[in-house]
Amino acid sequence: MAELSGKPKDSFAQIDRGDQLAPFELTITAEDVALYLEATGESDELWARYVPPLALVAFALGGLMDRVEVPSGLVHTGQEFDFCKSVVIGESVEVEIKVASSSRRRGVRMVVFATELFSAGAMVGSGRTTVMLAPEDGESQEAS
Amino acid sequence: MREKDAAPEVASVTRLIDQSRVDRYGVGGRDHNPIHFDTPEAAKSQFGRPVAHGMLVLALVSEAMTKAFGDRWSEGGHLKVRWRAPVLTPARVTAIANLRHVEDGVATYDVSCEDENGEVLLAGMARGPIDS
Repeated sequence: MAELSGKPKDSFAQIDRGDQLAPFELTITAEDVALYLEATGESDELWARYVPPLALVAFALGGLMDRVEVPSGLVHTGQEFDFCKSVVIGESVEVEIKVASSSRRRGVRMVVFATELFSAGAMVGSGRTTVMLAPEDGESQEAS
Repeated sequence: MREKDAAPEVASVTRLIDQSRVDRYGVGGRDHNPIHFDTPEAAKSQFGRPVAHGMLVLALVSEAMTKAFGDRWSEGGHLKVRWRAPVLTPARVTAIANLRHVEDGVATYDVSCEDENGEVLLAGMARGPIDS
């Protein structure tokens, strides 16, 4: 198991099962929430005080992409998440991400990232993100 | 009242996902992967053009669950989905949730997002705690 440095960006090709990103912190502002809601088109009076739960997931994954150099052909194929506690706008959330699994079959790379979010030591959410990278033309199709 | 009767009906949510919205989501959702934008990477991808962010599509499911469950969705909700097909913009996408069962105070729904042609873009399940 290795702790991924994050600086300079680690390569997606390097990461393996058990690797862990250095934890990082998210503090989501009212402006962040407004930009997210404007993009998704969602509106609810709850989001005047709280962070939409899926925005938390999106921002955590954004943090992952800031720290790991992902190939442009990477496809997000699956998402699982448990929401445990509402996060107030401006509250600090610590993000922990590790590589739960990594496999390659017929040249297709599948990686599952496990994410846990904490605020003041209490878990506010956890989930798993599955991504797939298909081989580029001409790349080996051998199973591994 | 039967437990199943306490499960809220989750109304569908429909939204136009066009390239303008995708571009805005790149900023608002912090996903700058070039396959989502008018870039050479998108042009040479397997889709030959930009595809919408999967999380933007999934946001419709979370919105539908929020409308039904309120803050209980943020404080006990669960979702598990797989994307089935890319969203090539523009597409009018509808999130749908059908009650599967209720057990131990938790309502489980089959959820999906479909485009205007009925193609399933993502599918899975979502759970939310119901009032006891």
